[in-house]
Amino acid sequence: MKAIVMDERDNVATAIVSLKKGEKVRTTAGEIVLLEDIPQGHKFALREIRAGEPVIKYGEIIGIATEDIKVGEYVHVHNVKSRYQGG
Amino acid sequence: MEITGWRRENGDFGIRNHIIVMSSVACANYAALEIARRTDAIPVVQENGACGMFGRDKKQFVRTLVGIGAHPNVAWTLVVGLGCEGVDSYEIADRISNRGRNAEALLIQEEGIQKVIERGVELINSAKESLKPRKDTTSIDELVIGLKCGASDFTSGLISNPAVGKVVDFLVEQGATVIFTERLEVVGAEHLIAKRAKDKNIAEDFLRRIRKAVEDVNKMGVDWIGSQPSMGNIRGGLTTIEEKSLGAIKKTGSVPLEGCVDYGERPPGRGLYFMDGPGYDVQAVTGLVSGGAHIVLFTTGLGTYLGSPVSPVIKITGNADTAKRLHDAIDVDLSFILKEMLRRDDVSLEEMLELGKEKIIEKIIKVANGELTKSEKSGHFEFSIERIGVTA
Repeated sequence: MKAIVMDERDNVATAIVSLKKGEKVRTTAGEIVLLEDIPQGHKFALREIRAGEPVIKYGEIIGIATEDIKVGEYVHVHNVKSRYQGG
Repeated sequence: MEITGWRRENGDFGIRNHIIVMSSVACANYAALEIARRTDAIPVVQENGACGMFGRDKKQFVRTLVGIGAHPNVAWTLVVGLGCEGVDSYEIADRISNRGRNAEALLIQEEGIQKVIERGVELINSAKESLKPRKDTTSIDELVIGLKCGASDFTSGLISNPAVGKVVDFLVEQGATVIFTERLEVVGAEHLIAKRAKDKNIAEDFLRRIRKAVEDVNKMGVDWIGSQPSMGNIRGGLTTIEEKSLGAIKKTGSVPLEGCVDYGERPPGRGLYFMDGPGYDVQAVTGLVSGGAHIVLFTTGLGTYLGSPVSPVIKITGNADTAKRLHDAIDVDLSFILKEMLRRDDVSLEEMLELGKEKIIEKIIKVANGELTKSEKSGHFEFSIERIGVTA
């Protein structure tokens, strides 16, 4: 397994090795085709996440999507905002 | 799980039998270090305190020095002061003695530095003669374990912290005491800890302490969210403070929160306690040890060599590169977990973390029975007390 899903409620998975765009990745939440390169330790979407919806890891909210995120897309500071972050 | 160590006069149980020489102010560091050099006593020296302190800040400083001097892992303490400083070395020695432990104090301005060094060496040499062998026994329930993570990376929240969380559940079930700290590393996950509080007052006390920590940073006029997660954390894949904190609190397991204590203070009972302390590794570990931690479990991604003058610090990593590159720092290598996960599709993280838990418990028992940690072997005695006030 090249990616870990920490909780069944999660909508993101963490890559445990660097993954390439187009790669098919098996996870406990099903097989995902990556739309972008994902560096080791970084996250990709397991489900579609709309702008304003919560991003969930460990079964908890880790932030809010700032734009629509497709399945297999890279999820990080460019499209997620902390609820503690102003602006 | 039997542990052999030293039963102290006051009923405490120690797993080390150190003689320490403690300066009460940086002006006395030279004398303390020289006495330590001539006797092999362990030096506990100050970098940032003892003079020009007020109120709660001074109380916290003295409480921490007393907590270290009266620690169950310490057989005998010598306090060395200059004399004119705001913290009274005799008071520190008295308060250690009042806790049923052994301490003496010397002041440089009373006798001159050469005499103080000579007298210190004599006192320590005679204390050495009264040291007893490791022969008293107890079980794991009497241990106090501190928790800390530092130089975190993506493996911390996935591997080492959840594995330590399982260890905490086991220890508390056995009747042991566990202390976690790092007030700003729970922001974004504080509601989950508060939910685990034994009663409403404890939950409110905990949440009030976290709110105050956030307010204190805001008062500095900085966008602290810009520094948490740090640039290094972001490069490593952590997106928000919530994600970092959720990974960090994994190490507290799922047991109830029994209460909160101030920095350097001993928990009044058994089970899981929160210590209101900083994230800075050296100051966090110092506070945990002053609070009576016999051992500190330190999870790390990138690695550190940090030790403590009186308690063993066990380094745990889930990162294979770190375990290899910093092999002389890491005590428990959990990198097999990700390797196995990567190699096989039929293995769950949960069952691998169980194996990690067993490895950590095995190491705790060995270290409690005298096996030296990597930082003890290499002589790491880092020490620093958190300051919370202005200096005059």
